Amino acid sequence: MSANILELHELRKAYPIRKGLLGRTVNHVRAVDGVDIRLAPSRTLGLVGESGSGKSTLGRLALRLVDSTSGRVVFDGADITHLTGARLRRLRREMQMVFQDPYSSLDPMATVGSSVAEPLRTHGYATGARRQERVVELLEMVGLRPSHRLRYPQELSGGQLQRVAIARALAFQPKLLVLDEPVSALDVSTQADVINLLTDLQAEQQVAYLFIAHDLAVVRHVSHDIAVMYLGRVVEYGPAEEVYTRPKHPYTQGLLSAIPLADPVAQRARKRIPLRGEIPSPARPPAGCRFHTRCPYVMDMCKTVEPEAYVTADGTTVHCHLHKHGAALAGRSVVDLPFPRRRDPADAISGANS
Amino acid sequence: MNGARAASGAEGGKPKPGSGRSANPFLRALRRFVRHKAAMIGFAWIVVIMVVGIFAPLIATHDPAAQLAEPFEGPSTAHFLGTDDLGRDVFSRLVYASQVALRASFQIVGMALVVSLVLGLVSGYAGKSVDYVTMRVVDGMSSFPPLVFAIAIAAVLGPGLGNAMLAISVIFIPGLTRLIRGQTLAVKEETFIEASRAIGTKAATILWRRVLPNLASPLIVQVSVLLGAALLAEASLSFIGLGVQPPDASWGQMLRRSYDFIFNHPWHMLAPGIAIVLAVLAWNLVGDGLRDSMGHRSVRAPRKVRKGARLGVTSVRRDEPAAGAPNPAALLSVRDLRISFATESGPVTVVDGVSFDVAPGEVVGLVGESGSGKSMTSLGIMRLIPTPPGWISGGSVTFMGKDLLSLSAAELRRVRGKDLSMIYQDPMSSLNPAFTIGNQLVETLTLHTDLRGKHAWNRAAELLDMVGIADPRVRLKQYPHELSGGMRQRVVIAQALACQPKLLIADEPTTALDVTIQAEILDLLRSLRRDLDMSMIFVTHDLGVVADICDRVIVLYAGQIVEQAPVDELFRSPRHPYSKALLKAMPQVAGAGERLFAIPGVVPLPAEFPSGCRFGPRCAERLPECGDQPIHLGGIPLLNEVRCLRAEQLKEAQLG
Repeated sequence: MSANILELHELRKAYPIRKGLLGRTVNHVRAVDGVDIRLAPSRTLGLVGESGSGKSTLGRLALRLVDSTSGRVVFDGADITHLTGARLRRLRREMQMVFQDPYSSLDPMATVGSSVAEPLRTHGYATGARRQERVVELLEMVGLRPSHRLRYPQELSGGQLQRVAIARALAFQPKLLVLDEPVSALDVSTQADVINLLTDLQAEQQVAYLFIAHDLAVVRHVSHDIAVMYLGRVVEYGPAEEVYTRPKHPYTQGLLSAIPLADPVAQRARKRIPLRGEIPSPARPPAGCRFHTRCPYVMDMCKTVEPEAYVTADGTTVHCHLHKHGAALAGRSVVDLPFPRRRDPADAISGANS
Repeated sequence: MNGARAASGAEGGKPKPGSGRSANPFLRALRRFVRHKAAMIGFAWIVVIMVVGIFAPLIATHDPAAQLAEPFEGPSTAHFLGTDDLGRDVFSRLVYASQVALRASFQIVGMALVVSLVLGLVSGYAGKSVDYVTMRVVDGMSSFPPLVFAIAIAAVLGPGLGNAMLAISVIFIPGLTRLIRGQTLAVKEETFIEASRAIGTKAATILWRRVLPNLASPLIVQVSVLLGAALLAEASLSFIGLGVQPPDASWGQMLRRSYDFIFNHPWHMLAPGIAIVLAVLAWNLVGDGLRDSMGHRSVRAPRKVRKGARLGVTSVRRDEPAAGAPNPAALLSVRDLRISFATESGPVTVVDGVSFDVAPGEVVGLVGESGSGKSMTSLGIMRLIPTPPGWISGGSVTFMGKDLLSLSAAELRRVRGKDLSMIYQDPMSSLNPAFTIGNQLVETLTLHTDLRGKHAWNRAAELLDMVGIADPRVRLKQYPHELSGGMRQRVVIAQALACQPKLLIADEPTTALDVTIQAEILDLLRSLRRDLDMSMIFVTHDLGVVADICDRVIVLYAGQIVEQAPVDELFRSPRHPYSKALLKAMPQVAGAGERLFAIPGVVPLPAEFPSGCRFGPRCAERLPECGDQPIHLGGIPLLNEVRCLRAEQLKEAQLG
């Protein structure tokens, strides 16, 4: 028995870009580029970042739905990086996934009951009446009625469908659930419902969650730890409250300040940390610190030297030069820095060292 | 068991119109098929042919091979359809031949289907080299003209019905394989297939239980059409002597024999000819019927609405005129707007008496959950709801002094895109993938302004620059797919602003974007509004976005306005329990480690709107009398109003 349910070691995934008649590989999209992560039993790790940061690929790598290019996936103490065939299939009972779009993650031609029974069927859990009993049990566990098993997906609301997907994922009391943007397709009012359900289920079932989302406000509520991804790398990784209230990386700060406040007066008064431009292509990640092209605090060294991991007193690991150089934050939050002046594009090119 | 959890999850399913019946997709298609008149006629005819074929020995009056009478006798009581060149009874031969026709077509299509299913499913699902090899073989097969190919195969194998069937089924394989492979590729991309893989289900089981049922509808349609084609192909091969051999009868072979005597006895071709035509027609009718009943069938709107409906313009059939007069000082004045939809169980009203004003330069937010009617309201103002199934059933929309609901399609086109513009959630849906960004911007400019040629292009570049796109000249030459999501939304905004609209309606313009990009787009819209002195209607389910950009908020629930207030006031002291609940549900609001607040239940379907307070069943502050009768808006009309019996009471409770 290992202390962690999931460990990712130096995990990488590169997709080849092929061109021309012969399909020659001209370059690679480095979707995940060296990620180390640990998740303890019954805990939740929130994984945030913009689209293109590699967070969804990371979730699929962890479940071995996608094969990694290098690195190791350790599940419950066993290295599963190269597991195949029947042994990998058997393992699927213990690690499951819930997808973003509840409307397409259930077969429209099958009843809800049949979808929930799929894992039971696949892994030979009982038969006939006993299996149906388990389906009903699972539906009730996620707050649905037994009669819902006879319905078709198009008869249910988004929130209800997501409950069905959760019930299906929990069929064998898995130890790990990867939740890929499980609430971002839902109305705000329904989001809370599903999140509360997930919190309750974690307490009941002792399941660990890898919660992937782009919305930090939601992630904060479900997570014990948060990992912030940017261009295939984790740039900040620490206790949820620390990351949310005292971000150590300018990117995290940028993501946080993009969330509109629920107060128009405060929102108008707020100074937003400008995260200019869009995430660069993972096929051509910038040299040095990958975030330097958008960073409001960029220094000269950021453009050439890759930042090393800096571990702060509160247990946050951050990859940013600001902690040792320049402002030398030494583990303090970037919110302590003076507000960066808005650079015009010309400045960015000449690289004013503020 | 957590009581609250059970209540909120199980409450109010989403029974579709016409509920009470099974929603099994196949049963639903079957019900529609049975109601499809033309298809049932075709189906009945096929049943007739089947019955005749099966009971041929009982129905035929004579031995089909026996030479009983003089050649070419006319119809008589002894020989209903006369005799052929050898004096055999034509009616009996026709009857026996129907057996051959149906059996042959079923066997041909059956063989082709089995082979194509294996090839198509495996090649589509496995992909890579398996797919490559299979598809090149199939390409090779289909590069011959089909009938010539079949003749060649039949000639090699030698004459006879069995060989002819084999030859024909071979020519069906390429088309059918392509169809199955294409559908498999599409279904394979669905999330539920990935879900099955994540569960650990074996590939064969996924193909059988998940992929196959989902490609069944197009396949069934194709099979019914192929059955007709097979029948025709078998007749053709028999006609040229490669199929059924004498003395056995087949329709094609009968046609062939009478063809030899076409000048002396032309009427002789009629019987087998008609039999073939009717059978093929019947299969095609069945195919059409299947296609209609398996697809999404549009619901028929009431006759008065259907009449005169124009593409791209919502029909207006006002049952009641607007009660309120428009506000002359407002840029947009909506009064008692009602929007109805035709459903399988009759018309429903999705927007029910919505009134509001938008002042020049003002940003108004329309908020609510899905099903609240916020998008319908905004589309209704633009008259962009397709008729059928939707139409405007009441009220008035006055924009710059004109009633938009009285304008003709041509007059409306002059307003839309010029003074009144709209942007949507999915920028890709408003951009044409086949044209460059420049083409599309210039087209809008040519349509509404005097700018032409170089001037239009210059203006287009200016517009891109205005929405913060770097290198506008380069971007103008690019296609939509070459831009990122945030960039596309900027292009769409540039297009909407091309003619400096007075009012921009933005329907969830940032919902599909990352929060960082959302923040930038909101900044952009805020600065554009200031620079261009433009009004906006901002439709969103995210109150955070409302706080960021709106001056005034309209909260909609179940097709009605439940609260309207200046933005600061709504956030500081919301008066309607629904507004309060929406605010409380924002994840930003809850403290660390706190349980998030969820509104129990879901927005009811329009057919099931409660007669009393529509929010009543989900309301925490509900009293028994809330359900008695419809609740009216109270407060200062159009400025600060609330639809709640307890508004005053709750306000005092809050203060006290």
